[in-house]
Amino acid sequence: MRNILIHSLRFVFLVLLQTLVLHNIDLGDYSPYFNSFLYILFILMLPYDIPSWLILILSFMIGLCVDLFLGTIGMHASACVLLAFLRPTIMKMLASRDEYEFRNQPNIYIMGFSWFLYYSFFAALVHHLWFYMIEDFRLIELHIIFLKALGSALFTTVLIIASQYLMYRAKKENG
Amino acid sequence: MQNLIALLKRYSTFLYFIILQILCFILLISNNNFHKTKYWNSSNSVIGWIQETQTNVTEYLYLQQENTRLLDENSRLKEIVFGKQDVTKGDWLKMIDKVRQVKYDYLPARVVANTTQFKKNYITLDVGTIDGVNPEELLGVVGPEGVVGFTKRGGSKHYTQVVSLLHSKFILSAVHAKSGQQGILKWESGDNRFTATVHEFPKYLDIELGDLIVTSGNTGRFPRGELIGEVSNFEEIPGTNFYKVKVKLATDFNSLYHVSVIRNTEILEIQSLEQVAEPDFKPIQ
Repeated sequence: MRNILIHSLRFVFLVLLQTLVLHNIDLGDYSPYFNSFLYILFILMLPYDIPSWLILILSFMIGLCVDLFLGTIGMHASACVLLAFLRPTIMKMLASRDEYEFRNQPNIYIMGFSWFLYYSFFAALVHHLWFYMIEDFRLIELHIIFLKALGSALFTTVLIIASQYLMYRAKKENG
Repeated sequence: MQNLIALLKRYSTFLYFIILQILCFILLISNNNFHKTKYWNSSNSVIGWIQETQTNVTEYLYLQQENTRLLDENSRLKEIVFGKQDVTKGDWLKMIDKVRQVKYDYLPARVVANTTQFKKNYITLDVGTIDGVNPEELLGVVGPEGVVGFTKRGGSKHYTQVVSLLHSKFILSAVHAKSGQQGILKWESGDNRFTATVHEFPKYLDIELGDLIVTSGNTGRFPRGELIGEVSNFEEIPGTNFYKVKVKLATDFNSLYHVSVIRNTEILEIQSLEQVAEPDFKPIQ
């Protein structure tokens, strides 16, 4: 029950952070290549044993919420659904099934820095690549799409790692 | 049935994924103008491609009909074009030789009789004195490709006889187009219906195969530069300073049908100046 509350709060917080703050970051000339989609952290931090239909629907919902704010109906939702679908695959790639036992919460303290780094980077790359492909929709300039996805994935990963340290340090101090 | 449910269960995640993605794309395409346009555009271009391929394939099946249709169309157009020519029969078309300021009138005519196999060949045209062909004058006749001949004296009311270029007594002053050198064109015993001979091109003249031979326009019967033919062969005449040049005629006399009679409006002026007596069909050039 407590977990549900935490995830719900994270949902709301990340959507607001994404649409009100991160969306307005302007890096000048490099802006198109470095967009951060930190809100995928919500999908990344869902428990390991969550039913697949639930994670798909939750991802769809958070994507759609971001879409509603940004006026890009369907784009983020589609990318999030893909990410949710591929999340188990990414997890399997990074560690064997045993390592996830008793470690229900995928976060940087439980799973370790390097695991979490790869995890968030691959997830961000999948999400961003799909997102930019849908945004472009013609797939003519694939190299530009890939550059954008790569740059943004790096940016997102940095923010995700930073947020992990921020979140859990605050937790430690509070608790 | 049970198998089907088991299958669905097994792939339920993928099914959810597909359903949600489809939902996303429906939302995407129905809500975003850019994507909507792109979607419809690309669907149209895919459909267009399919239809084009279909056309490319089926087109071959209809070549026969298409051919027939084109032939019909062709004959219809010919009727319009040449029918019009018949309507304007007797109308002389004005043309002006800008350089020499000599005016030429062209009278479209059709060949009604034509021979090419004899030593003296004549062509009969369907224009006569009633159309303004003066029976006392020798008028130049050209076809679409080049020079055809001269009208013969004494035409009738509706018909005119033409001394074909393929006539043993035909003679015309010709010019080597590249150098401007003059020579005399004849149709000799060694010539067939495709060739003629030009004499009196001097030996120093730089002649090549394929050089154009045109009319000189000297007597004003033809405008200067009407095509006669191109050089097909040339040889020096031993003991003289001249070439004997074989010319491949531009006009195919066997398929000759549409020709024009040329009238120089100022020829009487020229003739009165020159005061040259001319034998029957032998204009002295």
